[in-house]
Amino acid sequence: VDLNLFGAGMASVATTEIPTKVLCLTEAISADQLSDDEEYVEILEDMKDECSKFGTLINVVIPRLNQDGEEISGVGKVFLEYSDTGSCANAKNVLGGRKFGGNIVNAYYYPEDKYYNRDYSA
Amino acid sequence: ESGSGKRKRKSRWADEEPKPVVQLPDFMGGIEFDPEIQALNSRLLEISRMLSSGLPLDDRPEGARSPSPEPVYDNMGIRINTREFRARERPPKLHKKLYIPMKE
Repeated sequence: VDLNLFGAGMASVATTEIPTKVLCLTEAISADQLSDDEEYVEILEDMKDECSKFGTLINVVIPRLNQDGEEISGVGKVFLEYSDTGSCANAKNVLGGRKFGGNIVNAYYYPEDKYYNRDYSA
Repeated sequence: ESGSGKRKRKSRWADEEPKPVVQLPDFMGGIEFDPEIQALNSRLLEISRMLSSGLPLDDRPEGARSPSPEPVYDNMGIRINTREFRARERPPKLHKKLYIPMKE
């Protein structure tokens, strides 16, 4: 079996998705965890520590309910903004399918325009 | 940055598990890497090589062979039941066994 042949095939499949600079993680955290201030800070810390290993991490956004308990979009998601798509792709490869607090994390490229408009619903 | 003392808290991230470099389709893992299939495949290659080499296939010494049958000739007068010919006829049973179905 020519493994290189397979490798090439897999690579072309992987690139059909258009990379962005923003990675969105889902399934990692629950709304309950976010409502606990201490836990929220720790989660933020864990994300920053781990996710800056893949490149220049510009910002981490973890939406949570505000003081009034008002419903906002994107609660439970984690947004990782990188300086370039390459770093973002690295992060996606490593973090997707990895466990965070026992949950298997899902990672996908998030539309940059929406992210910059603080639209976390996509 | 403050609180440098509690920096050693364990991360929620699980340790990085080495992922298989290439994810092979199921049937590849099942058939190609089965040691028995691999052994059969190399045996098949060896037999194919022997058949195509044209070398005598029967390596038994002269005295140990069973007596040759009466010669049979085709309509061109060429003998067709030579030892090589019969040797070619012999392995089909094994050939059949070695045929490995692959998924389309």
